[in-house]
Amino acid sequence: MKKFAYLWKNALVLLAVLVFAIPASVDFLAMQKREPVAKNDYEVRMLSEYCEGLKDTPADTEIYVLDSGVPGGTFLIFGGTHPNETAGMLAAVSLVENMKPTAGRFFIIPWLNKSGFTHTSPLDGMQDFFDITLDDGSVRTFRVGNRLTNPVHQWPDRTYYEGTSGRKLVGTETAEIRNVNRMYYGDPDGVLTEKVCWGVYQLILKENVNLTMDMHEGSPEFLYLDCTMVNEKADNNTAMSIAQGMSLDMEFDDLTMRAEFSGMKSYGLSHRSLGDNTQSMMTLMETYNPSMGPLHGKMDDDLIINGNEPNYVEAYQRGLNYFKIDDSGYPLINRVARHITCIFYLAKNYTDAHPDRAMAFEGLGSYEEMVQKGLGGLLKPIK
Amino acid sequence: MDIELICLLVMLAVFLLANLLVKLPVSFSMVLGAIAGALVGGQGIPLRHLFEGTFTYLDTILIISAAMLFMTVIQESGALEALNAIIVTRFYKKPALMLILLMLMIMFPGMITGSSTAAVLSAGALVAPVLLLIGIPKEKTGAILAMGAIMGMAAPPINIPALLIAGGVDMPYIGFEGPLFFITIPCAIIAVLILGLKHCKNLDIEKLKGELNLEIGKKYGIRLYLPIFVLIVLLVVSKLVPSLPQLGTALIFLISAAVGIFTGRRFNVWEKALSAMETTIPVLGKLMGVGMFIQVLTLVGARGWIVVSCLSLGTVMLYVFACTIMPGFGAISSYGAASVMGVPFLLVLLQAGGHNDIVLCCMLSFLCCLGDLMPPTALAGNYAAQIVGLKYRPVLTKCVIPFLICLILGLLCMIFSGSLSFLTA
Amino acid sequence: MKKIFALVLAALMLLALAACGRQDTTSPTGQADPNAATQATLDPSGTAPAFDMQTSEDKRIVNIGTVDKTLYAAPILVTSFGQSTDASTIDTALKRVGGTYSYLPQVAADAVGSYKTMIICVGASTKGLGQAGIDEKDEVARAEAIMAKAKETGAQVIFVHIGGETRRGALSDQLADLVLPQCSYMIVKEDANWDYKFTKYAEEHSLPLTLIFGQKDTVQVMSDLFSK
Repeated sequence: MKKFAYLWKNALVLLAVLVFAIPASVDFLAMQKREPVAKNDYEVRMLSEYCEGLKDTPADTEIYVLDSGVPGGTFLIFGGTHPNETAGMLAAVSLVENMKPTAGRFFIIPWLNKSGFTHTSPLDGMQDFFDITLDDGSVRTFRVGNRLTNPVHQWPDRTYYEGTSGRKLVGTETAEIRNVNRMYYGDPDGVLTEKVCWGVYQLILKENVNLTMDMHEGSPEFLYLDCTMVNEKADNNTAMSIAQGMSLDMEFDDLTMRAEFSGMKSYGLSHRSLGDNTQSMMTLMETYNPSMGPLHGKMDDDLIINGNEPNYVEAYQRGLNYFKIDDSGYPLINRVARHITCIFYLAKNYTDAHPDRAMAFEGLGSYEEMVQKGLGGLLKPIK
Repeated sequence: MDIELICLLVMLAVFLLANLLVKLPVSFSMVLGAIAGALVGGQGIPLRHLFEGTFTYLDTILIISAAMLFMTVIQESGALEALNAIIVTRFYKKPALMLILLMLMIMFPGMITGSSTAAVLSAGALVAPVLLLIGIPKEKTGAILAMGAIMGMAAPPINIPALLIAGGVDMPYIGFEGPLFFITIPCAIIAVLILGLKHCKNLDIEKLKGELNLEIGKKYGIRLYLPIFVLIVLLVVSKLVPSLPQLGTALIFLISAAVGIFTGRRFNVWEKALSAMETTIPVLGKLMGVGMFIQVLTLVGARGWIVVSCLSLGTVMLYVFACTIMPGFGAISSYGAASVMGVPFLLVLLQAGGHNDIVLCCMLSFLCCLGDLMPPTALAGNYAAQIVGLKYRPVLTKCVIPFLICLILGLLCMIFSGSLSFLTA
Repeated sequence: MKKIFALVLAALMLLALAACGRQDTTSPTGQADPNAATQATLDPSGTAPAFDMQTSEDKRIVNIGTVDKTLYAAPILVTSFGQSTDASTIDTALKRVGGTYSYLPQVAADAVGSYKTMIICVGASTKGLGQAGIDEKDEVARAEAIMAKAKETGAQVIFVHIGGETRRGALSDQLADLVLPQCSYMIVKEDANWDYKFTKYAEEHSLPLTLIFGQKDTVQVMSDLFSK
């Protein structure tokens, strides 16, 4: 009997752990539920319609299709490639809820890496949720996730993996096997993350997508902020002129949005891999998100929504960041509005260059108007 | 006073009080510190963050557990005794060389697991009797174990503080072997010679032979070393040919351990495995506690505060602080030192110009590793003292001189990192 | 004893931490420290000190000297030296003013013989060169050959440098120095002029120079130059 005494002790310890683990697990499980989207004139499809293997997995995600009924081009827009890059997801949601297309079709995916929205990363002290109070007084809650697929859904990370792009994931890059933006163009029989990539790839091919925007944010240390990466190849190497047109239009609105060539060695990233392997013009934009950097201060709704981080102002003054950061911060609404404005001008310049593939929308207003309205006015109440 | 600083002070105070006065284990003290910090920082008791933090070092925890099982097996099977016998009988005429080889043996588990504790508890436990046998006093033996374990922890291929710092600035963990060997091997040699050489000038081999286990090596022959061989081959192959199906470090240790069960002396696997895990669990708990502690530091903004405060230091002060705070932070955790302080120090020093980023990162990680000698946690010192049957104070006292030498060498390498860039090729 | 030793060490550490408190980087007037500001650019091509700019948010275009518009006859070529995105900005600007021109950023020297006007956008970009699959040496050789051809045919050259401060690396400057001796008009985004390289050159060689504040001003400049 004495031999098994330790079992009792261990059982007691486990029980004590459970007392804390159960309420904690409620917190974690709450992140599994997707946010509702307000009504608009859209059709909902699932990404599994383009990649069988995603069906009934936690990674299958909604695609909102808004069709103007006027023949023209097709624009694919997605946020949430990296769930912690909040502005991309919110810009996509705002587009879905407000957009009135006037030419062509729009495919919008707000939560591309849906699995990534179900967890946060250890040590970073990230928020799981943040609240936005709407103009009518109701509150909408959104998730901040992790940039990688949830290891509960895809584990373990292999110590070596070669994706379809030829990117070799070894050493410190092994976790990137759960990063949607490293695994393009995907593989229908690969790991869960690759299936998501394959779904996007097939969607572009099957729906004959002409223009794609992948919305991102970066920590302040990143070099390419307020910047759009462009794969030059589409339509006989004319994509950069369209992007430069957008960049000039943004500048006329007093907004900076550099256009940059997609890196030749950015294997497995959307703009490189999908641009090289599909007909679509591929673009990826980045804005600055202070809550993502390692220098961030106290983590709360205020940092996420108002985007003012004095630590980064100081780091900039000390020459540690390339990107200019001042006391005024970079509120979420400004980042969301910048994403949407960039998309608007990309569509406009694309239409100018290819009138037979026109794509246009209204319903969101100018950058200034969106900022004026704030997130509370831009997002619609859920009825 | 900034609220972030208050949070930091409260966390440290609660941790130290719980550990030193209430005598709670380090891991529990860290939990209490983390909870106190979250409360002061206005985050309530953030259960989700507390849990999430404990998962930070999950991979490391798996590796340490598997490595401990492996070391237990080769200890019980007699492989390490046989190795010791070979070293002593072959090299007793050249005591300096013998001491250096013994030091490398202590370092080995630390090198592959990145944990000083693993080194002390495994190879250290085996080498200690040899060191005592050849006449080195207990406290100095303990000091050799502690220094060796720390050098092993800092030596390549796995140096966890270096991994943490490199990860924090998006630097690939490539080219770190050269600079890390450059600093750890000379420091290890200097340490072991200072501590041990004068005690083993004239060794009586006949007396020694009586104490060594000369039989076990003869009885089982070369197959006794098979698990060590399997381990080295699998680790090396997985490094050289990454495209082969990968087992992962933890599984490699387990496979090698499984091989070892059949290659030497028989022992009760279940019992030995249980007792190995029992000695390891406090270390694993410590890692989980550290993860929780730093997650809360980040959550309340104290981490950002520390970093930004360091940015305002001048170059000279920066070096002074790197030499004091980095090892000093080891009083809580050397991993914590790397992930909280390592990144900003690296960024700011790089900005001063003339530095090589990889060499600098290696030297900063080396300073972090030295923190494993810092009380009250003093991971390496604690376990080394336990092995030789002393309290850790006399052992740590003997460590002071080699520790200072290491610190100075590390500092020099940092200052002249630019001219050492050839090491990274 | 052990306890006291540990506490003293920990206290020392805390003191050290507390001592490294924040230094204020702003001067009493609330302005950011100019030294801190100049350190701020981590650009690989070096850091530019602050300098007196002639253009500003309110006065976006400054013309120095007079441009003889009649010099620039069709056919017009727009090309890039260094393959940065700047040439496509000029392409976009010209499109908006409704100009007639050929946009050939990687044109070879033997294909430029028929052009009477060459708008050469100087600015090296590693990304752009990589995208085009051209190495630095080949780009310099192409630039040299085109300038030789222009000398031969007597084509008018307009020097365009609108990438700003970030396009002042060694290669960009080398390419600029190839074009400047043969140009008859310079268009420069002013933040690139931090060492007064371009204003000095224009003054010494009595060249007309247009300084612009931002890239969007290229639309106005192209309109002024080519509108009938």
